[in-house]
Amino acid sequence: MLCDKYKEALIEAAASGAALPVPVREHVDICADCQASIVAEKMLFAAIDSSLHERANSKCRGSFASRVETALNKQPKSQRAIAPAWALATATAILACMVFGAQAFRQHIRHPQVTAGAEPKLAQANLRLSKPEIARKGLSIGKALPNHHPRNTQPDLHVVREPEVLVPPDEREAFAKFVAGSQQTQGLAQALLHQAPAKEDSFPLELIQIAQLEIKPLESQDDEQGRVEK
Amino acid sequence: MQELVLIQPIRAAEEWGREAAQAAKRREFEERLAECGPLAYRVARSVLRNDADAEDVAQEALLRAYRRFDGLRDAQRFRGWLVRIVFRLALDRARSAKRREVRETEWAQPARRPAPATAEELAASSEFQAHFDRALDALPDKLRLVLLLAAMEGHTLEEVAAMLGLPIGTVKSRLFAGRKKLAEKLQCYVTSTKKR
Repeated sequence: MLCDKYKEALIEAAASGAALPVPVREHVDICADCQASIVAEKMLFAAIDSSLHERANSKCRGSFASRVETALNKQPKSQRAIAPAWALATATAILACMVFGAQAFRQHIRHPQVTAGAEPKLAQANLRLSKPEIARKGLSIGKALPNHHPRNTQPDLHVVREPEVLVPPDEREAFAKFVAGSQQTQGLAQALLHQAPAKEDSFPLELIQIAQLEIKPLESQDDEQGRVEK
Repeated sequence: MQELVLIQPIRAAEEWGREAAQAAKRREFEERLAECGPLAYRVARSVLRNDADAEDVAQEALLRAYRRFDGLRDAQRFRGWLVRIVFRLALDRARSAKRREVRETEWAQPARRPAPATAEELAASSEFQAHFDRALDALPDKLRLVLLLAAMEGHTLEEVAAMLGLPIGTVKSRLFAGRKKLAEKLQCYVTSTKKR
């Protein structure tokens, strides 16, 4: 009965490997049963640690790395993740809304009197309002005036087309590399060609002031000239 | 006369850039693979206790890691992510395997066996091993992962904490709790040892 009191402390000490608290140690010193208990608990924890170590440190086969590499080679080149079904469904719904919205908008433009309903009356009434009235009623000019969207019926003839060049097949990669390199350095080249903006405010430079300047006659030079004349 | 091909320079440059980036990614990933491949295998093996299954799971996790490598270039983050994904995949596989075969969960004290003299003898006994495996499998996942990672060679508790993104104190408490729970489930061996 007395030993049960110390059971938990014995297990904790065996689990952590820490020293026993003084009252527990005093009891263990005189109790053979608890001595056997703590030895058995320590043995159990050692066996647990040993089993854990064995289970966690299994060596992988040498062929594993090559197996993974083979699987990697089979991966598709574009690494775009496959969109989940919900993402596809959402995208489809948004697209459908956009299509219907665009159709409704076109109809509205073609037949404003059909789709607008009571709007023209409101618009006309608003047109008669003066500017202070519009401001007072909280109406914007855009809202007050009827919408007018002149549609561009001409097809867009400015099709941007990328230039094409003829290169030998074996120089294709080198050419692509060259173009990529030139694209990378394009920004740098542009930066070099552009004139640097004047930054007078950011770096105020003061004029150099020389307090006193003493000018001495060049005696030695005169002497040398005199010697040459002689 | 030499044959010429018609190419669009900008598109060709973009393609080349993509391929170069892909090759760089592949090289970097192979470095990580050499470093973390055995770790992935060991985590899977420690959960599944089967070489073939462990290889399958580790490979699957590594392929997933490759697909998401752009966001996981930081080595420490990569290790942590890999460990978690391997562990989860291994658990899924273990559970599906468990569903297929009904295991006998016998926790009763084994009848009349010679008591082992040392911890090594105890650990080596097949009966203890079977009980130990079942006890470990029954542990909560978060305790089990910490126990296994801490038991792996070359892992300090700080490394385990960094890998799992946990404070060191949490790792220590989980380690302590995990070992204690295992000991509770294997108490029958303490009783039998005492009786010697």
